[in-house]
Amino acid sequence: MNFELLAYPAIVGQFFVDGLGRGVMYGLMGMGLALVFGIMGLINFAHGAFFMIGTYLMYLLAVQLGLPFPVGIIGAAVGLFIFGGLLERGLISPLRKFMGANWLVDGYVMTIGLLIVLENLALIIMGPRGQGISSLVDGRFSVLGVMITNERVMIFVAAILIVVALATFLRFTNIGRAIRATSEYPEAALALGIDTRRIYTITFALGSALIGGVGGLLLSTYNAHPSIGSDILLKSFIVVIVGGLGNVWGAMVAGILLGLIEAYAQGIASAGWQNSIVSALVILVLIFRPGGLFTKTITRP
Amino acid sequence: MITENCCLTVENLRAGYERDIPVIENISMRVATGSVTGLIGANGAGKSSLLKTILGYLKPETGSVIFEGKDISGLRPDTSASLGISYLMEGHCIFPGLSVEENLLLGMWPWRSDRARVRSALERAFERAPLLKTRRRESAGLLSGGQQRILELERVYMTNPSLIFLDEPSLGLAPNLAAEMFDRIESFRHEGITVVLIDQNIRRVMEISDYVYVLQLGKFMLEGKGAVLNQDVENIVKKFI
Repeated sequence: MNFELLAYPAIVGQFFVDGLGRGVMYGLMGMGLALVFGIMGLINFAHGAFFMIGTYLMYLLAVQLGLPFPVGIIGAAVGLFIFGGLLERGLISPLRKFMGANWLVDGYVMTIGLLIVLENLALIIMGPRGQGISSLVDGRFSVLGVMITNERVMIFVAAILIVVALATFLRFTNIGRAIRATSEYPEAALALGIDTRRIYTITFALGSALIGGVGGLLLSTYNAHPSIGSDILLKSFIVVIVGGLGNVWGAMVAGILLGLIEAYAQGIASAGWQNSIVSALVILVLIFRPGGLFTKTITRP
Repeated sequence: MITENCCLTVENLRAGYERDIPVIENISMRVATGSVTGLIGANGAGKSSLLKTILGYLKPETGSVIFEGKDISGLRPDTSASLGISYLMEGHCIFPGLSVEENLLLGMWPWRSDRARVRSALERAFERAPLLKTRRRESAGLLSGGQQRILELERVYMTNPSLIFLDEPSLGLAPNLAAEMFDRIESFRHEGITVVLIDQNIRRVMEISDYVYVLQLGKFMLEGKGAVLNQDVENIVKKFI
């Protein structure tokens, strides 16, 4: 342990900036998973595979076709929105219809199967080699001795934009209100004329678009590779468990918390310690707050 | 049997949660336009299941449901609201995490693209229940049980429905609020709204209902004009409830 490093403000600041950057990425990864779980109750094990597809779409659009990076990121999000919507309509919705109340267990198995199929399809189509880019934005600057890359700033700004856009959508649009209502009481939503099947499709497509866009945004950090999804899935699960199952905003806060813990642990102890500390945190959360740190319990009166 | 203009006709309805185990069987009923029709029976008699089958939550195995001349048997439940059918579910059915205003706005979901209509329905709901206007920004889950019932009833009424299904509207309400609830149901009839009512307050149901069906183990055992059955209410309760 190297606690004397904490006496140097610039180093502490550097850990903070690194942790914040890393944490925002984790938060972004977890948001889509939390959204789908929060509204549909489904733990989507294919979440990591959607990230992988997002990185490949970004690579194809921005690198192979030479389109601007924002177009690649939006393209990845739109592509995954369509893909997620089709998957929900074609596979998940029929499963929910035919399996009735027990559909969730089958849903877990189905998404695990999807993860395996998509990873292997990527291996066949794209090959085993990782493909990526060195950075989306070049350059760096220094503030009070703390080095900040322009790419970190861009990811941070993108995260704020995504969070604000999602919050605005859920809070102020008719569909957003219907999504929240359906998550609280689907039978009552049906009685008001809300087509909950459509709401589930939109929610799954939205969750897929979120992780797809994030895959595009983080292509320089996580290269496109058939098995990249497994790492992302693990990080997303940790974020969702710590943040509170189904809590989209909790996922972002938990992501930042984990990023900071990792950065300080790595800096003060050594590389490798961060995983042990994060695992210990997850175990503590599961013991003392099994619902997560930021669980908002909605009880029907 | 009612012979006036029928708002709702149900013929030989049979449905259940498990195949070959019907919870309602051979159910036929007529609901006259602008009337209050009571459904009474013991817990588990199949009253709520009957409503759920009419509204499409439960798929009928046999039989038909005709609403204003249109066959709506087996229709998805979310289509009934746009046809002019409102449903107040048993127990509280608000969205507690959404604000009072959002709950009301969702009541107008089938007409959400007609912003003027939605705004005007919302303002009228606030005029009828000023308390909801005062607390419009608060989470609906913070309202008291009685206030939540008011919110639910306004959400049902604001759509200007032609048929309302009320499942236990007085459940859990203080006696004075329950009395107000029944007065409100009677006022629906004066406005020409057809009501199908389930409630544990059997005497009050018989008093305000034009026609009453008595359900036991998924079958109608007795039916008749509310005023007539009310004269024999104690025997009916002893025998069927």
